[in-house]
Amino acid sequence: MSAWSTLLHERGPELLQKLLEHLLLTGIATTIAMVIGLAAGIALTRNKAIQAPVMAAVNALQTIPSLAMLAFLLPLFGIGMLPALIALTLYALLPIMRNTLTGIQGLPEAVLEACAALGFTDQQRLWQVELPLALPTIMAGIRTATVISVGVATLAAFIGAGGLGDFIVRGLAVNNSKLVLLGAIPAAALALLLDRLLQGLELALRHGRHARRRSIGKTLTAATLTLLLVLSLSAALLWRSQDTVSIRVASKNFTEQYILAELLAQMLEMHTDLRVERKLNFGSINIVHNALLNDAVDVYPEYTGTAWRVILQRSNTLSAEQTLEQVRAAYQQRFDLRWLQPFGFNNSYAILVTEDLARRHDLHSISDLAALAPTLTMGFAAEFYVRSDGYPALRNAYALNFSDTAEMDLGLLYQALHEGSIDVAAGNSTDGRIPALHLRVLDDDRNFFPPYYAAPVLRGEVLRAHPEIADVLNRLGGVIDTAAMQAMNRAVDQDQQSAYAVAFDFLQQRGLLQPPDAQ
Amino acid sequence: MISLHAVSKSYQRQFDALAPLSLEIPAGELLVVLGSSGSGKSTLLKLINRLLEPDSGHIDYIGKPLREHDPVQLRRNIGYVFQGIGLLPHLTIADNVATVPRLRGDDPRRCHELAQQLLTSVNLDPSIYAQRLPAELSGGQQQRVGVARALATGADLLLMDEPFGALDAITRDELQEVLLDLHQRLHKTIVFVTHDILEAVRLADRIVVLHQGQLQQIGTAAQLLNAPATRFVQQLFSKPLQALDRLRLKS
Repeated sequence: MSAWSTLLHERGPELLQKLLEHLLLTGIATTIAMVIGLAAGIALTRNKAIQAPVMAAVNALQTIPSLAMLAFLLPLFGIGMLPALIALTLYALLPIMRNTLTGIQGLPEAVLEACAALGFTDQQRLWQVELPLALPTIMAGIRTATVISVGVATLAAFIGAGGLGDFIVRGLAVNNSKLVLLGAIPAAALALLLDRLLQGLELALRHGRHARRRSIGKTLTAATLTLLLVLSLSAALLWRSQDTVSIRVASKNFTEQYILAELLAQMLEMHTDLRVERKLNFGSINIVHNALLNDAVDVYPEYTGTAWRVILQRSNTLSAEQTLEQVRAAYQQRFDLRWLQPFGFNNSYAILVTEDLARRHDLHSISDLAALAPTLTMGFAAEFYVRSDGYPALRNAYALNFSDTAEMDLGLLYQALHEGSIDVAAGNSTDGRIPALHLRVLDDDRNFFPPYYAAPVLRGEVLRAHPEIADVLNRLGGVIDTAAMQAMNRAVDQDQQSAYAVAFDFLQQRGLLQPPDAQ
Repeated sequence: MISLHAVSKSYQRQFDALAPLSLEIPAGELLVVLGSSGSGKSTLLKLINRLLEPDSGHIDYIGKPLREHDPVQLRRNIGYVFQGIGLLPHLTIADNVATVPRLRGDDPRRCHELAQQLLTSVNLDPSIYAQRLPAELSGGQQQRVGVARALATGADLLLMDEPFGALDAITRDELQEVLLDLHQRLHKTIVFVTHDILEAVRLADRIVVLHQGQLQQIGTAAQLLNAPATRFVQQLFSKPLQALDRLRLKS
């Protein structure tokens, strides 16, 4: 229980912000979907010829998996709120449209016949008969859409749109179930709450109609105004917290990145007047790189080798110094992005086997694996399979023909190797579980992997506006060696400490929380 | 009041078609259209308030071609009662009765007074029923409301499409009584469609017999019984009489 209260104490303000972001995403998307869905649903009842094709198209949209939808929108609309809103709106559209259509079409024939014979105009029939009678069905559609939106909005975290999904993605990445629940429980509670709220509204609408005939219009207006009020309130709260100049610190979605981002963020918080905003969880270097170029984030930790291979598309391997020098020059020239001082450690890909297997077959380097490979299974994270410095290139470079390969979550790889469900793994050399689980790193004797020294990457524009940032962050230059990074990673992955606390402890131990002259 | 001149209507399926028919309906008459299902009797009714348009021929209504009446205005000035009743389930009885005045935008207080008055005239106590919902009433009570709703138009013409067909015999009898009473007091022109010959005989000033879209005969019940124009009309009347005879013999 005390672990929970610590977590809540630590994350309280962030939880509130994420909750507001989530509410805003869901609220805006559902409102847009409501307007479009109602109008389109009504239009379809008046135009039977296009009903089938339109509903088929909307149904097809619904079957696209949410992550695929987000990935599809990424190149069109970039990252952040906009693509997330578009995706959410598309998902919320179907239930509202379908229920409007079936609600109106399902009305008894006798009632419609009566309307015609009594001399209702089309508008009068719509507002006085069809909509009031179809209201329970339409409201059920709106409620379904809202609950779907709350759920799908948790995935918005993958494209930097914020919301409660940030906790879930982060929690999954560092294998911390409490953090996952910190996102999941409020999301579930929010879904239930909104569902109840809408149900209450629906009952009020129905009773309102009994009491006073004309009040349906009034009640609808009141409902819309309430919704707008809630939206603008949460928007205002979010905006207010962003009105001072702020530095947006980003990270990719694995443990080491969270820790490094925390180190950057806390140094900035301690030693500058800038407000710091954390935008963690970006899915890959391409996404976060785009975010930097589009002024969506300002600084994040990156690895020289990854930039060299993935962004600059270079296939040769140079020394650590040469790699940094060339990456730095190319980034400044092509992107106006600055590489600050590297932290000191090299987080290379580590080709790992168990100490036991290494001893039995006398394995020291990756070359030693070649003869044994046809009897072995290799495991790696999905990203490693598609990267230009990943599995296919490695297989060619070392002539490795594994009998089988397995893609799995990076966080599960080490345990899988330890338990023998895979024989070889591509992990990270700074992972704390390498010493903890008695794994051996095989020597990259053909220099296949470039050096991966981690350093902060900062937008040039920000640096010119706030030159002091470079001085503050460069104090982290060279202070983290491989052992120190492994220890911090282990503290998060194995000991379930928060990245925030681990980063804070490190800065305190190294005296980096004091001003420079006090050192 | 209404003149039909060689009016016909056909559908893709033959059911409910109407062969060319001419008919004069004077003001104040209670005309019953008698026929089995598919005879074209509902089609005839729907032609009069322009829910359907004729294929050939034309209709005059109050001295003006029907085509020149705006359909919406026309329907608001003709009372219509259905077999399906078709009360709006989300509105109170009073609001249902006042549907057409409300559509016309009449003063709400006058709508309310009118509803009270009309409910009384169909033997429903407004203090009990005015604020109820249709689902809370029996079928017979609902159809009384349907009749009151038709009267609320203030129209001189009422169209009634098998209004009592779905009701039990006792309730039907009561409502027929109500209708006759209203007709005597208000002198409305009523076109009443039914398949029930006893109902036709009881209510009608004149009866129009339709069979498979063909007009068989127009006349009073006595004329139809004593001088049937077609074999169909003759059989129509002979069967109930034979049944009565058999009943008499048994007792």
